[in-house]
Amino acid sequence: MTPRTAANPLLRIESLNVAYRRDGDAVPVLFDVSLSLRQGEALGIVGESGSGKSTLAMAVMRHLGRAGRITGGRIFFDGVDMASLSARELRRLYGARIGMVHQDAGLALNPSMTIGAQLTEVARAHLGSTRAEASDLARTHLRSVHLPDVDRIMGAYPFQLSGGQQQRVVIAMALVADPSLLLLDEPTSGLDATTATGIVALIRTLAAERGMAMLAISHDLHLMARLCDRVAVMYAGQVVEENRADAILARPGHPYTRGLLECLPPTSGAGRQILLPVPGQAPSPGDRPAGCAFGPRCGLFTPDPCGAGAISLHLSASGGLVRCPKAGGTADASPVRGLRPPGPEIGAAPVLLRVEALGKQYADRTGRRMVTANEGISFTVRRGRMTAIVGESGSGKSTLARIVCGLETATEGRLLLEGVDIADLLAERRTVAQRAAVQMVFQNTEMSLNPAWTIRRQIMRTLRAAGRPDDMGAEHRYAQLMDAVRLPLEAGERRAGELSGGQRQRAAIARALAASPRILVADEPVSALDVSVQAAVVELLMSLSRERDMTLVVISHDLPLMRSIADDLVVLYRGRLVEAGPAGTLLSAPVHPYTRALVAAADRPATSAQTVPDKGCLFAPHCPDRMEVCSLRAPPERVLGQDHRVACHLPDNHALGAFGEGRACHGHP
Amino acid sequence: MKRIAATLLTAVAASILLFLLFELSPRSVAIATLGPFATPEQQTLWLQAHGYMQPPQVRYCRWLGHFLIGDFGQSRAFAAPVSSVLWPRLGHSLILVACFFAITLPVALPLGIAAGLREGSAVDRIVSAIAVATSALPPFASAVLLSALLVTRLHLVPGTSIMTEGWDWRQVVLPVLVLVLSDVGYLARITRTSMAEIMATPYIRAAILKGMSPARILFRHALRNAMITPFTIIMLQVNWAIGGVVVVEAFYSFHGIGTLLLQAALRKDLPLLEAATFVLVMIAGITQMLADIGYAFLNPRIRLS
Repeated sequence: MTPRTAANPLLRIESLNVAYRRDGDAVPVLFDVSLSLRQGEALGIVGESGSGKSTLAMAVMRHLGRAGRITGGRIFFDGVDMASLSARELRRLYGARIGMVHQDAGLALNPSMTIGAQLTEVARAHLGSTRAEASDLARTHLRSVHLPDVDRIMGAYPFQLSGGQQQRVVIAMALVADPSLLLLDEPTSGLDATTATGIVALIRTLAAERGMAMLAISHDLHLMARLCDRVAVMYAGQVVEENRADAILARPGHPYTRGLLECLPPTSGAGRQILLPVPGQAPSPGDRPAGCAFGPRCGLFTPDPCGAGAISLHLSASGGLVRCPKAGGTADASPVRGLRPPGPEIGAAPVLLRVEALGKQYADRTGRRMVTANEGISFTVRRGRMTAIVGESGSGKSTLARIVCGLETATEGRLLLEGVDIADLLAERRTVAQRAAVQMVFQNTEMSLNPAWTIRRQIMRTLRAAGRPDDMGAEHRYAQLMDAVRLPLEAGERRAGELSGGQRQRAAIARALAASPRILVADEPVSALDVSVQAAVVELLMSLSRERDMTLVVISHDLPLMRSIADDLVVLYRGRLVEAGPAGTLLSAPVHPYTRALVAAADRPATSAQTVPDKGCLFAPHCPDRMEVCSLRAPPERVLGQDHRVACHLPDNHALGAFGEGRACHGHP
Repeated sequence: MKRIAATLLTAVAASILLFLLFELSPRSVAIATLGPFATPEQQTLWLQAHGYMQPPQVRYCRWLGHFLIGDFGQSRAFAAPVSSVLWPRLGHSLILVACFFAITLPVALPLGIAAGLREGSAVDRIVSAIAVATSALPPFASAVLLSALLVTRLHLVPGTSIMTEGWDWRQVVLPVLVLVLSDVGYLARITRTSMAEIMATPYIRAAILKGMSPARILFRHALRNAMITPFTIIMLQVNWAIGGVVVVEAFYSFHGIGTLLLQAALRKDLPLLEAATFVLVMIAGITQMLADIGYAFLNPRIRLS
């Protein structure tokens, strides 16, 4: 390999323009994108859906599909114009010189081939290895991504691995032929926060060891800043800002970058701040406004110079490039976020919902084994206090939500809604009042909204079902609801597929509100939404809750978000309650080691599906404070304070130790 | 092992159902056999003589016992043992089905794969157009058209498949062609859709971006996953082609099991009807078993969990 200098970058993208053919028209999706990447350097591309970041990655690979076409500019890899390569030459590049880590590893692995077969074929195709050499190489790389029991994994099919393991396999697969560039497409999407943290650290180490350059794309600015040396922010097909990772977080130059940072909850426990949404939504490709594409959403917009014509990149005050004529002037003011008012005191808030030793078992696919989704879960939801149920995937949080809403029944325990047990009543067997009292908002609005009906018809139906059949005020209340969720009335005449993700979630919230619920259960209400839209929906839910005396129960894997909004936290792990209590207590003085790990988002090995103990504490194999008793008996549940419960064998004095540690962890005063 | 047991269980259940269906009211059997003008006394005598007065479970066991050793009783319509009528007819049908698949699969699968491999390409559009046109044509219409062309015009093959002089391959051509014509487009379309779906999956993209050759992507990565749906359809069609193509058999007077079933039903020939139905149920059970085994081979998730 020839040494390269800064003047001779590994990857150079020069004024790239890409268009997609749609209904005979060419819709431009990338405008004049220029980027370069030196040997061993890591560049992160951040953008929301429709920003063109995935198109950029696929254009680099010259894999745009039948509809996509490079309409201008050039891409050089290692000094060679990619456009000049034949299909055969491209194949020699793919997998060998450029490795790719795909998003949603579970889908990027062939379900009918063993992991071993999918790894060895890379070595055999590119390195000319024999079967035995390829197998050795595959094992070496599986070990290098810290996968345990490599022999088993080589013979396993993808579905037999956990999500974290699949992601590691995909990384190992990209590394087999020792590429000089690694392309990462949302490398941690679909992974739990703790698993994602481990993956990011792993990728950084591997890249550093091999002197490998990385081009990563993600919607997550903080993730890219952790993974990469430099970050480029894309909006509506253009790079709007590019800078060193630390500089872009500390001094964002473009209003959009700043918006992205302000609408996210703070990463450490800096108090419960109100999120500042970026108003509006990103233009769809082909609908870009003239001048600055971010103009319609920007607080600094003025017709001149922002709307006058194309804006060019220029040097920003913090040493990067920025595409904003206002950057550097008044734009550098730091954000002012208000503090969120806390919910009512525990003593002053009556219990609305009490969950007592709730459990759910169901038969697995073969019908022979019973699977425990929930076991012995107890906590209380108090009126006006927002309760967040947090846990990784597989923690049973969605099952719990479905039982509360009557979509499933519990197999043991009680669920008291204002003192009445509804644990074994499906929604249709509950009274109208009970049914109306608990409503649900789902994660995926594409599935939960009827695609054939207009939004208006769905909301009106719920209004009629929950109210009096001959309600003359239904029309009026419909208009009020649409107003409450900030949707224009004309959006109600459309079908779900014609609305944007954020609008669809607002419509789903309006439909749930139509029953005037006292408890609104929201299952991952914003995780399918673009970052800049998330904050608006979160703040909408919070204000609706206050205005309508409606208690929120939010299910989420997103602890940073939950800690900025929740009054009470319920932490689940593999279907069991780990710890429940007031958010302030849990965040500043977590008692259970799992809660501590979650709060610190410490790097720890992926908790694989294969290592679930059949007795004792389920977290024991991963617990730093494991004792002998932990693998023998299930931990008892203890009440430490009002509404504060923990299921752990550790004695209370350890909890006091954890208190100090917790404070040190995220620097509370 | 479990699948074989399940198949056997299906067979037993089917035999009980058949028995109940046909023989639970013995008097109607007597009427069917002796004709509508027999007196009640004559019917009773006949029933006693044929053991119908015994309890149903005893009769079922004896009936099943005879079935298992291949003794299906006497066919009234053919005035011969059922087995001497049934087995040759089944043989004819199996040959028909074998020829049908021997032509359909090598045509439909590659066409479907080629079309699905490049969705929207010229190949895809041509295959889809032909597929729609052929599967829109009902078998009786294509039978008429083919006969007009190959028999009346070109005098290439005989117009009937009655085979009075013994087995004649030339007489199989037309029924097979009609079946092929009615099915090849349908199967090609199923294969195309399945293939196109697989080619759009992230793991195929991953294989392409790993630098795998087009041949390896097709044969190693795509084909096995893409064959799951067509395989299911093909196994279902085995049954349809053996017993369910009465129209084609009748049009060419082909002596298959489909027309046999029809004749037996029209003439109320209960022993023959029972035997033919039972054989078809068994064939359905066996193909289902083979389908399950093949499905487990194609899909490791089924095999291993």
